[in-house]
Amino acid sequence: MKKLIIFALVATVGINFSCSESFLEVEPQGAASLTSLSNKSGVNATLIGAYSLLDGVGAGNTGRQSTISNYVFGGITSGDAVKGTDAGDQPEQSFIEQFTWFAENTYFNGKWQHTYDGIARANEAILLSRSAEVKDMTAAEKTQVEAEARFLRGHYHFEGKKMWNMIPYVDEKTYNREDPNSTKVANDKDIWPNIEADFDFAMKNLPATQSQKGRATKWAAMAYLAKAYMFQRKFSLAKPLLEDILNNSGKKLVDYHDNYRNTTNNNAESIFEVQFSVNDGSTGNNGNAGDNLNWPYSATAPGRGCCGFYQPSQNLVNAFKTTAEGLPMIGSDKAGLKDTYNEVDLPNDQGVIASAAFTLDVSAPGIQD
Amino acid sequence: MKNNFYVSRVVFLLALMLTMSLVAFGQDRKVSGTVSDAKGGGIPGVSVVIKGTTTGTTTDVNGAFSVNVKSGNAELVITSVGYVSQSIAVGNRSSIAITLVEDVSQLSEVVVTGYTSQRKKDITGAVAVVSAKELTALPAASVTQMLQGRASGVTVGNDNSPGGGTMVRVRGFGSTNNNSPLYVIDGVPTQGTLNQINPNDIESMQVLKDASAASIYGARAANGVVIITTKRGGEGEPKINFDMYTGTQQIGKTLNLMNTKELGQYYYESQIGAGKAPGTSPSAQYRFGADGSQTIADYIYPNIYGALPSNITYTNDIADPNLGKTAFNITKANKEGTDWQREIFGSARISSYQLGATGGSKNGKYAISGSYFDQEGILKYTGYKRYSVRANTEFKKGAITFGENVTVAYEERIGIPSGNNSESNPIMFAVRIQPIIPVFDITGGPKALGGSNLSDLNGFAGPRGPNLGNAPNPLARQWREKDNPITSTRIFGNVFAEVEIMKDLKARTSLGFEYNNYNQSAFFNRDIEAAEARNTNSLTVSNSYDKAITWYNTLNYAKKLGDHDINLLVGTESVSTYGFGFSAQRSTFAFDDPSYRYLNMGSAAGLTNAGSGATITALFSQFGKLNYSYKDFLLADFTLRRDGSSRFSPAYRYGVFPAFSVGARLSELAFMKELTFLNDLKVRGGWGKTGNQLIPNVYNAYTLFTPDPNNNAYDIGGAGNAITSGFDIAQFGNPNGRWETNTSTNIGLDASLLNNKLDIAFDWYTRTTSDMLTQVPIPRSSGTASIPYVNIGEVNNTGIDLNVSYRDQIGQLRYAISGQISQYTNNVVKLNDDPKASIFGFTTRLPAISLTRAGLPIASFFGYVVEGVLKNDAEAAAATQIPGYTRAGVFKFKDISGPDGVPDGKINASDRTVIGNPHPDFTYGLNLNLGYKNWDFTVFAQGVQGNEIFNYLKYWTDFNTFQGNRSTDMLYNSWKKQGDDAQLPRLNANDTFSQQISTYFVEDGSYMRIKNVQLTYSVPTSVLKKIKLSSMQIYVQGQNLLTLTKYKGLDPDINIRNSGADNQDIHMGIDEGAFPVAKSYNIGLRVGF
Repeated sequence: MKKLIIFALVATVGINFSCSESFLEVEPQGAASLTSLSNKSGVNATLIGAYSLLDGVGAGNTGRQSTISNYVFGGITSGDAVKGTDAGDQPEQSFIEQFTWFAENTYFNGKWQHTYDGIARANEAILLSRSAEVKDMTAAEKTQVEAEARFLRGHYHFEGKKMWNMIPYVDEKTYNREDPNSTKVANDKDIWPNIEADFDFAMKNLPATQSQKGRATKWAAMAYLAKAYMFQRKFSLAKPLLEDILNNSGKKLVDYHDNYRNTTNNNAESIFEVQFSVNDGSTGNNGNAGDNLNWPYSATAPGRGCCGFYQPSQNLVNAFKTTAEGLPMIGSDKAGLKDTYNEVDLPNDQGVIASAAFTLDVSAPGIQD
Repeated sequence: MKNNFYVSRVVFLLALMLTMSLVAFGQDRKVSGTVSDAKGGGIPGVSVVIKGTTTGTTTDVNGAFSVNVKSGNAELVITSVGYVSQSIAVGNRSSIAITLVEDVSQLSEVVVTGYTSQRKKDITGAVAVVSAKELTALPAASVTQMLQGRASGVTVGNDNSPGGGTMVRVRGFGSTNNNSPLYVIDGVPTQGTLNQINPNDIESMQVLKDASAASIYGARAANGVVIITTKRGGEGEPKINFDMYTGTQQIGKTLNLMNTKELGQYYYESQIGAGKAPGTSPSAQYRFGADGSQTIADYIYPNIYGALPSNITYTNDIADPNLGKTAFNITKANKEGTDWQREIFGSARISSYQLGATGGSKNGKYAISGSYFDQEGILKYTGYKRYSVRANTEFKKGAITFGENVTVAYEERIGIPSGNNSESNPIMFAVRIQPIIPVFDITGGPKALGGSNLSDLNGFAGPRGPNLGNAPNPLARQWREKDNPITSTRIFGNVFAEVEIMKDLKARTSLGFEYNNYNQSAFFNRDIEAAEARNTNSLTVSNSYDKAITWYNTLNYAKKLGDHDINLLVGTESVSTYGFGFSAQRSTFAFDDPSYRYLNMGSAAGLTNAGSGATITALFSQFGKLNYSYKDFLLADFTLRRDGSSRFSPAYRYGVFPAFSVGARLSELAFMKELTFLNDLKVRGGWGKTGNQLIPNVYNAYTLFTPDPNNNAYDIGGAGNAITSGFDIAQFGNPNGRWETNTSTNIGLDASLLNNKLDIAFDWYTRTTSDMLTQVPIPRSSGTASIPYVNIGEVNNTGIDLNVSYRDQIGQLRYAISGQISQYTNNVVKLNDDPKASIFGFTTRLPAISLTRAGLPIASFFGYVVEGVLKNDAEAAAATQIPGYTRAGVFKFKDISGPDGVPDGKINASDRTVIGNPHPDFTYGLNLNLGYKNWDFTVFAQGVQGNEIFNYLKYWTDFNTFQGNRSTDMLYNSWKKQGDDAQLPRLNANDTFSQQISTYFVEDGSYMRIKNVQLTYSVPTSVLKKIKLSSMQIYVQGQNLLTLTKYKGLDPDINIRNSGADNQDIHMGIDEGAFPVAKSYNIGLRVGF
């Protein structure tokens, strides 16, 4: 009996020792490894991931800071709008509005994080599409993925360039997923040539039309390249591209208002659009969530009132004034340097109930009919 | 010389024994008597032996004995576990009444120290033994909540909400990651709140503090190990016990906030301060004359001065198309002001009932109990209930012992909506919401709350009107979420078998299991009165469960060879865990009735569901331990454990953790024996390594990609309502991650003095965590994949633990005083090679407040230094200028540094510095027991000294933050005119700058709390006999009656944000709206049948 017990015990301990290696092998659950993504659908899904940040939302909790409308960095700082709401709500926006920000202001960090997340995702798509493990894609298909990814990579770098000017350029040669510190590169070069190269590659390798409206086309890349030239005042390089689009893209101008309406998204004038979606199975992150504070400041406003951020300014109204020639009054003094549109306020319908009649006083200075 | 002395001593002893044996040749005589405790109850089973012989007896159930002694100088030696032994000379007496004193030092007590047990007096590592009796004197859901102030070296933070979490930290903070200790209950490891264990079932509790004590649990012991043993049966007749207490709890202090009139005045002055003309109306509800006279609106929704227009109708339907036009949930202004902090809190019941039985024979023992615990929260409509059953049994036949310990518990918890320490919880809303808003609209609220509203969920008032801020009615939230409990079912225990293979050699196997299941159906109603209203109702159903299986096998060889005592243990252990959860949501339910709150009743539009991958871990270990002692004089322990963890890649999977400790019982030395005041003196020292593998991400070694509809899917087809799913990299893997190692050195001393009345235990320690597993911020130019945990850095904790207790009797008055002090100094030695490398805490509405960096304690407060308010223009002109801000009556920010490390005459990010330390200088507990005849009186106080709290509530109460209520300080103690030495800046509606993270928020967090005052009456044995009970005690108790503190917030006991969760310790001591402690008054009864 005693021997039996000892035997049983030794056996138990022995088994316990020998099975340990397989016992400690645990496969990660609920996630995909690189191997599972190394095929056509994996490559495409990774590319969708790179498109997904176009709305400025999805790179961590940075929606308001990185929303594609850039309302904080563009709208509020330019004077088109005021921050609105109460002084103590999102005070960091106030500091940006007043040009008194500190380095630790989270808005800059958020925008930065989003910009480089977009770049990282584009690089992931490029790296994966080039992988020898991907055997179910033709060379042409792989090239198209790379072209779309480079278009996106150019877009994200462009966003960063507008914000900070001298920023690091991170391409698929720099980015290494095995070493998160690989992207720690110097910001000592002007990256316009790199951005141009990305758009140029996209322009030369993308089709003129895509079956899916959200995808970048040759014309989108061309327009973006022209925009990059315009930002550098390389007008002579931009002009032929813009003319090419005007004459050969098949795009045509539509009613100006249609460019801002939900029902006329992706219309004939549209070259490239950020696609928003709602009731799509997500919890609402894809429907312009970055602008989620921008409502009239009243609980009872039409739709849903809320927080009262990003309120239009008189300056914005005035900016719509034109000269007798129909040109904007920006840089409209004699020397061509000073804006004159704010010298007299344009009457507007603020404070007039929507159902009441409002007729613009065309005799006011700067109003042309 | 010493040797000679020793020898002479032995000779003397021998001579004495010889004399006594000679005396024993006298005549036999019968002596009878009783042995009773201090309260007069007979103690059964006491050993009564004639000194110098083996002759003796034991007392019967009533404590009576009779023994034959040889006449003359016979002495009786009376011994019983748990009591101080006594020698009594018989003299000529034939009847002797002996009273035994309870042994406070319990040196001979045997305590469990990890897979085996040891006499307390032989322990050479740092072990705090906590008296379960003292511990459980405090009513609470979980034993961890009771631990505060009870064990030296253990720091406890309570979240105070019913069934809420506790932060337990042993000897400081070893890591920026997870510092929760390992709990081992009857040999089964667990980590968490310990809500599954009914505190009354606990027999004993030990905290293994240093590596030499804890390293037998190697891999998981770096944060200390708490060993809990539950009650088991003893031999004898069944004992049936009934325990209960019930009481009421109340809120302590609240903040001083403004009333309606004061708030209007404040808004007005703020507008004037921002340059508006006198007579400007600061908000829709307040009108001011040019002379500053104030008129308050009569209705706030709609906003009306005077009588209500006749065309206005009442509605409680948020979907009413006329809502806000002609239909309103009509709400009058509360011109006096609602004291919201009083509205959300109320008196709350607490009660506990337990029935248990213990008993057994030589062959079988049992202890079973059933209990019900019910605690309402002082925050209305919150609470916690637990039903639990425990059964511990053990059977012995021949060489085999077999048994089980198991507990099954079911809990229902309605926690604080939105969680503790959250700006969206009712406590913060009560601070933020304006006093002009009444609790109810004109209907007076739901019928159940005394109103006349036709809906059970409506009739509340809120900030829907203009300028009323965005904080919703907190009481409405509490009321509407009162039916959303989290229910959990927990099974915890083990089965074990022990075989005595041969004399001195035992084999033991134990299979432990833990199973927890959590469910919640959380229904969120439409809130018509809210400013940011929920337009649709919704239901979220969440289910999750986790389980753990622990199997260990040990061989234990214990042998006494002459003067050498050897105890050798070897063993293996495997632990596997699994956790999984999912949730689903639907919205737009036709009705709000509780009977209708099931997913299928909701609209499928807007349906969401989520279930992330399971968490699976495995751990396999081998270990050995040798205890050696020589003549009770020299004691030594050696431990070695090797662990393998699935959390690391194969190359770095295994860690080896050695430890040793030695002790010398100096009181065994001959010359020490001469010192009559010294009963026991032991010096001890130990060194060892323990490990920590608690990286929150169990798959840290892998680079992984995930799909996510919110963050990487895209409407690539442009449909507007459909997304194509995408993937992106979710985490960077670190295949080189390995064990975090904690190396500790401990030097200690245990002494019993003055006839065992005075006990002292002192420990000095230093422990260093190396290869700390931490996420170090990486350049955010590589995307947002989560940062891997890498082994970097070093953190040191050095400190002392001191326990002192004294117990004596003056005539009939028994008294005992005990106290403990714990002190640690925490220092981050290094994070990585960059001395400026920083780990920041969480961001609130302010940027991150806490900073962890080399040379500082973990989670130091980091911000600007405010040197008061600028008194006048001259001071303003001399101060460092902040463009657009600096003038008389604003904060004076200190220019500490510029980009070049020297003050640069500008205030900017380089002027941030360390402005506070959340770690205390020391923590302490004091316990006083007084006993007179059948009465016992206990006072227990506990405190924390020298820590700082970042009072984030001030962001809401002392600055322009939304349109909310403010502190009275803001109106009365702000700068008004030249020369004012003010506490707060001038009122200015446009001031956005003053609220920077600064020393203004930092307060002294020291406090001392009288945690328990209790008076107990034990019914005398004579009465008990008549009513046929074996014991009965009645007590009254006051809990948290007094807290001495300078802290201005609700309560200074600030827990970390989410105790038990990972990565919380990088942000601590920040009051973000913490649940305050309740004062309570209880009455209790203990009956033994």
